[in-house]
Amino acid sequence: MAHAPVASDTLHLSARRLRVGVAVALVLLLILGLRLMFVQGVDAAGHAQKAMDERLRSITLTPDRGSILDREGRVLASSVQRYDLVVDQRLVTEEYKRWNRETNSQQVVRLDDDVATLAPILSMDPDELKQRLVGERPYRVVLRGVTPEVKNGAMEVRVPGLLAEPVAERSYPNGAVAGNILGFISDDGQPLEGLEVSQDEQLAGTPGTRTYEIGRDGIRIPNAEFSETPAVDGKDIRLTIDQDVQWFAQEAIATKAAQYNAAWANVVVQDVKTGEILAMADNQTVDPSNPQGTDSLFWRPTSFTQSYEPGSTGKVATFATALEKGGVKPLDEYSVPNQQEFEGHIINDSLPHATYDMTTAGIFTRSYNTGTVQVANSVDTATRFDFMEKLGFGQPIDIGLPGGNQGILAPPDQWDGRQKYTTMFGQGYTVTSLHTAQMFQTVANGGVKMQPRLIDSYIDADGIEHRADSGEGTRVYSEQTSQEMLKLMEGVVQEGTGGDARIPGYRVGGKTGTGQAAGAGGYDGHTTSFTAVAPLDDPRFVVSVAVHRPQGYWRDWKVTDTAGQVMGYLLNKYNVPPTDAEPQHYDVFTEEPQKRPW
Amino acid sequence: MTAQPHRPAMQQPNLTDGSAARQLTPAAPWRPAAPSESGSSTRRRTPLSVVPAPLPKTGRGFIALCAMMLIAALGVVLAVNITVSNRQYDLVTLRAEHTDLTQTNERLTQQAEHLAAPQNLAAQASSLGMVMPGDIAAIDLGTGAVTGQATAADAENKPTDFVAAPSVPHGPNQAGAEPDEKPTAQDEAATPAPAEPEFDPAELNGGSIPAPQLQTPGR
Repeated sequence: MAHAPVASDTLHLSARRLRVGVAVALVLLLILGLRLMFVQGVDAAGHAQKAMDERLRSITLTPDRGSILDREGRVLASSVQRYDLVVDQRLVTEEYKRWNRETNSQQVVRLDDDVATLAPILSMDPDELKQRLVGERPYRVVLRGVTPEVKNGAMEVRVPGLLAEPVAERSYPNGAVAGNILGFISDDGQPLEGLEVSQDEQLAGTPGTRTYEIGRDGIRIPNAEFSETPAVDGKDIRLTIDQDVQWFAQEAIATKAAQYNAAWANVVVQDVKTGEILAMADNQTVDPSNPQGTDSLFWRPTSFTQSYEPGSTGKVATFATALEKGGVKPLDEYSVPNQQEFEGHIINDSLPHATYDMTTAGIFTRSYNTGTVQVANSVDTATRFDFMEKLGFGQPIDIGLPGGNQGILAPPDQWDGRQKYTTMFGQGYTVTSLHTAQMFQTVANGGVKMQPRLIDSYIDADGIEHRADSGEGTRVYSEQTSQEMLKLMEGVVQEGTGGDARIPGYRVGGKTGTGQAAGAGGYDGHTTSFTAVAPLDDPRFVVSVAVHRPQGYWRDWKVTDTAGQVMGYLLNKYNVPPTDAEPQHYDVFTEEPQKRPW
Repeated sequence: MTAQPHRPAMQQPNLTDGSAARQLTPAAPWRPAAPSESGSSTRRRTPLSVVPAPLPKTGRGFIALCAMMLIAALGVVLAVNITVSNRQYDLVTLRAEHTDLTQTNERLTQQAEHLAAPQNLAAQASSLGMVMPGDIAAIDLGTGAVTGQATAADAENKPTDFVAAPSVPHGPNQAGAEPDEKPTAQDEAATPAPAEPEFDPAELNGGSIPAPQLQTPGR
């Protein structure tokens, strides 16, 4: 039993150790318990939320902006995937380490070497590139709108801090063709002009969101929380524009404007039966990819924004109203002097001529002002004004483009004494080329005015088309007046001022006009125009051409050939067969001969 | 001893006695099982013997089965989970591939659109020596009547080129222009441009391209 006390001591010691151990364990457990209590009890929701926030990613799903198509569905504007290369300059140093994938080792790389590799890929000057990479800014755009290939190439270089941000860029594959109608958007995607602005609501679509949890490696955790509100893509817009006709008209009018060095010139092509606009061409057109390269006058169709005094083209309204309401017949006889006084106002013609005995049609053909006033006096001013209004003069034309010009047509009670007469031959009020085209469309379409249409339909993302309704046509003139007016217009092409608009095999009608253009100090220029209708047997197209402030002598100006070219192209493209029908215009003079000096 | 007492039929309780219910046909009198042919008195009784007690059920097999099923289920769940996770990676790869293809498609579409732009077509046609058409004539297929008088195209009537070719923003990277210098070089290396065909004067017959081969009638 001598060992008993030792054993007791050992036992005592191990018991103490045990107690200490248990105490330490208890303390640790207590700390853990407290921590657990704090985490789970005091702010459980907060911590769970924090953890969730770490894992949860929410991204905005950008909708695709709708495309703009021409009448045959060819793309005029669409969105494409591009990248903005941006850099966090704080990460770019003169030298940095990078993992070499081939040797599987860290490698020291000089910035200059990377810049030298990167510059040709981005087609940038190396110095400029380096200047953009180096600095203190956390965000700096290196290059905007690069293609996916370039972006992939640039990312391969692995410059630290260089990132690619996906952006949608607008592509206008036809460049300046119809650029004035399409408009354009800014670098950061804000619509700035044309249909891009006015139809933004339809084109833009609605953004969606996607929320999901990711693991440490950035890969989505399957079966974890996930929610998605899909983005609704914007609608496509189908226009009534024909890109081929638009191009042809742009070339034709540019040729004409260059010939006369005009301030601006335009062509409007309209379908007679439907009012659809096939082309709105200007002598210069903005390329939506580079709007700064073009004068802002040409950012919108001048046929929509620029109004001018139409001159003799306006006589179409005067004669049609006289035929409709004044009891005038196309072969009524008038004595037409060179100069004539009406209520103290002396009206004269642009060129001196002998006094002729002429028909109503003859006055229209030769566009004599003195005769026009005699014809126009068959109806009162109020009626004449009423019909001008019905034709749409002085009223805005809604074709879905922003900022149109409605022209100026004052009511008759505000007219001065002279204006009663000047309005008869197309002065004292202003219209745009679109107004003029609309007037000819009305007269050619059996007297029924169709609302001009530019937007044919909206196409949903699922392909369903919604036709943009433009309502029924409104009758302005009778069928008979319309038929008579077409023959009057044919006379202009056959016997009058529009000879160059003739197209072999077809019956073509039209009316020329030269109005004075008002400048800062009164009238100091002209707008010369011609509007053609064809084929007269069954009118299909209206082509209205206007050239503003042409240079040179007014008698040399001629735009009839341009209208003829565009009309010929249209008839050919739309497979309108020639009829070889004889012209059916009226006699100009009441007695033979019909050919007399002007 | 073996003979069972014969229960007489009248001992059968009359179930309907005293009730209004119709009496059922009397049940067949109960009989004992027919005695065997050899005669019940001669049959020997099986001697009683000690039967070995059945083995006690341990339940081990059942537990093993349950465990196996559990493990199998866990294994399946694990496998499914691993597969799903791996598919997630595949999905990322496929998505990248999809993006890639979409972008390639987009680029090619853009190039096609660029080439189809009216002014580019006109320029191409013009460079091939094409000119604007002359007047046209039409044949009415119903009546055979010819209207209009077709005229030859004027060799000098080339399309004008006031409308510039679509511009390419952000330098030469835009579609339309060659997409990139490197791929182009590779493409050219991969597919050599077809050699310009050469024709002998007989084939050309005075023209710049050979006349189409016509089938000789009666051949």
